[in-house]
Amino acid sequence: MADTVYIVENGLSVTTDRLLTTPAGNEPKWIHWGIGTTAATGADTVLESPGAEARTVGTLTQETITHTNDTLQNVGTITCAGAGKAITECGLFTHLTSTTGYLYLRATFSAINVNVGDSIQFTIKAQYTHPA
Amino acid sequence: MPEFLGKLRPITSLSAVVIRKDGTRVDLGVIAGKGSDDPEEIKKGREGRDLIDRLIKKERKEQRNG
Repeated sequence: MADTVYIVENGLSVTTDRLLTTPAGNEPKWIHWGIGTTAATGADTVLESPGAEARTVGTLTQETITHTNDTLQNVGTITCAGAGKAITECGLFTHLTSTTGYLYLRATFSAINVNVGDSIQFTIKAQYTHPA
Repeated sequence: MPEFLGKLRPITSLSAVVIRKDGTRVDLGVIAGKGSDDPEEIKKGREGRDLIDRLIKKERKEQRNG
């Protein structure tokens, strides 16, 4: 499994929208996970196989990696319900439900096994920097 | 009127900590994106996953045995 993270195409539009005086959409604070194994791409609009658990709200902050406040960080936790599963994907969304809003970022990674009641705390960072 | 095109390049990373039902925390380090190919992070992720798998296996065995 390719360990990959993409700010997807809709995520790019979320980025520019949030620079406006009155953004049309929300910030990408909702975190979700899933068991999809197809590597993330820039064209993704949803998680491949989202878990039955509800999206949770993470804590969004500005962090500094190279230049002051150049990084958006979201720290959020999801708890496994229903049945144990192998988590292989994670996404950041602009809304609680899948019927509205956008996927901002999708990541895929090697499986993390969880049992009912276990949680994963994700820390997702998107640093904005100059082109190489 | 001249037009100017500014470009930004996002660099992304994802870290994970598994918090087991009993409160045990297992840090898997950077699991995707920038830094995930660092040998230290790969080792942390592999050892963390192995530990979780052992704990889950033990838990399921205990559940089966009542």
